[in-house]
Amino acid sequence: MRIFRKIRVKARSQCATSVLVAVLSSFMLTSLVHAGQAHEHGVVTLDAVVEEKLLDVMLITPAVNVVGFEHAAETEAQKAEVIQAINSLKQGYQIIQLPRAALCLLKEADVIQSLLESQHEHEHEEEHGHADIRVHYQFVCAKPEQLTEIAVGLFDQFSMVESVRYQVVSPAGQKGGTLFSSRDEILIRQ
Amino acid sequence: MLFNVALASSWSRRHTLFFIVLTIALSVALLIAVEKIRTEVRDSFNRSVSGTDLIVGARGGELQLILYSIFHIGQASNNISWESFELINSNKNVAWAVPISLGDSHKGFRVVGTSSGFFTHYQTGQQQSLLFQKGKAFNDLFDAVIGADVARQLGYQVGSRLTLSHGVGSASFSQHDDRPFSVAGVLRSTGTPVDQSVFISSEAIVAIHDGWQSGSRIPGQQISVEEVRKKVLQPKELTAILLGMKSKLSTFHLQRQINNYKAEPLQAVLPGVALQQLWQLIRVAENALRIVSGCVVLAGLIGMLAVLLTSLGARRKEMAIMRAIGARPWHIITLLVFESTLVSAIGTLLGVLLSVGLLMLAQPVLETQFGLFIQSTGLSLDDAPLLAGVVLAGAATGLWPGYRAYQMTAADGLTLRC
Repeated sequence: MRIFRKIRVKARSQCATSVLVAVLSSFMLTSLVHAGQAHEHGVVTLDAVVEEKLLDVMLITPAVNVVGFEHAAETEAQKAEVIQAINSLKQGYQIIQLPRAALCLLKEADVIQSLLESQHEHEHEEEHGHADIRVHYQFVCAKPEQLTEIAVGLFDQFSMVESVRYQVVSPAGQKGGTLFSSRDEILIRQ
Repeated sequence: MLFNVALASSWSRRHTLFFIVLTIALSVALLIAVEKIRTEVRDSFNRSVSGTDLIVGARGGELQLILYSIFHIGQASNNISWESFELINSNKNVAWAVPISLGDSHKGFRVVGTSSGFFTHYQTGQQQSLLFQKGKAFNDLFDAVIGADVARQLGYQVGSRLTLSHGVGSASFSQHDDRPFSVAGVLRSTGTPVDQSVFISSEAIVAIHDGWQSGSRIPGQQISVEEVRKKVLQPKELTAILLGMKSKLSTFHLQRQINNYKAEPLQAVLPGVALQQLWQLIRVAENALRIVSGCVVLAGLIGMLAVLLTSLGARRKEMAIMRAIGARPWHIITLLVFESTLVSAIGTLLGVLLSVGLLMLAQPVLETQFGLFIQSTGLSLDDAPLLAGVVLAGAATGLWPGYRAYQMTAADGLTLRC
């Protein structure tokens, strides 16, 4: 009680709700803090922007989530695995599932990875660095106002993916949160 | 016919029923007030910032950054260098960048050092720009712009003189009394932390600390206001940066660039995303409030059940006579369900009126004391299912006493021992 009062006095001119937040956040902050670009196995970050007719999506995932290892592919089997992962990541319509009514066409699907590289490039690479795979999708939507939600199809295809941390910027505002296999839809507008 | 009987019967016991109506009214009023305050608090949080694409600050928690830069709660973990501000400001994708420097206060209100761009770019609510109630943005080095609450509570007008204090405590010992400011403008009320802020230019923050070292004045060193004006007042540090992007498409690209910036540990957050995180935290308290008000309603209904059951003893004769003159069991049940429905409906109605009245009365207090801005005290459509639920639960409460009354046989009430 005393602690509460102390905080109250400090923030007298703030709103009562802010006091509540201050109290809550003082002990819950640590659990929610995560560095901007952390490399966390099992976690994929997804950033999506809707502007005019464009929908731009960037996925960043630790390589281990999609191929099971993070070093450069050495054996033929590993190379085949990487190629297969790249091919499935390029299936934009499966990974980023959009409402039919928005009439979106996939214009671009680029997979940027460092696991399959020629020997020369490989020499310059960091020795024991974690490897990320980045996937960039660009859709052009005829009816972007119909983009009410985005379903993420990563969970079915890559069993290592546990959660997707997303940030979305759209005319409806900024949204953020975490998706799990049980709830894999981002609601852009209610 | 049956309803007339029920009404007349209820009327004859109006004194007892009045209190149970009152109990239900109070619990419903509480329920509605909690719902109202809950949604208004959420709205006021979401209203606090809009139109800003990114907030940049020292690396740390995302929530912490938005708490200190927008809500002025707590302290920044670190300052950021002015070079970083200029670098970000010169980025080709950035439409505007507004510096925020915190750390000083005026009579308990935070002082925000910023640029005049703040007043053109900062938006609250649904893309509402800040408006001046009186006066204009700062022009002179020692000009200040104050929020609506500051003006009201301290009785300031355009032209008022004010002295800032070092630090954020209201009883700060170090006063910047050698460099007074005058109010150049008063902002219109927004229902956000802007109302409780004093804005001065970033250069003025440097000016008031000129001749200071480690948070106190260097003894014997007196620099006059005129001398300060002549100096080059280049800020070295700032607390946070608000950014607007030319195209939203580059938002995340810049965010990643800032987060990976090697020269200084910086972080960029999307205010909308951080607000959502904040809201998830508050949801715990929010749910606790809902549970408490739900329990109060439940207590009211149980009270009604108790009253109805007790009344059965006194109404034995009434029931027996009704059964004797040919009332069927369902008549008896209807009688009691009708009564409980009537009582809970009147209680709910009264509760709604009570809550609207209370909120109207409390509105100015909530706004001045807690900064909670209630936009409308009226009932929203969202409350309708809740209220219907209360009445329905009230109606259902009548079922059990009804069944009990029917169980008591006709003979029971007609025997002489009563």
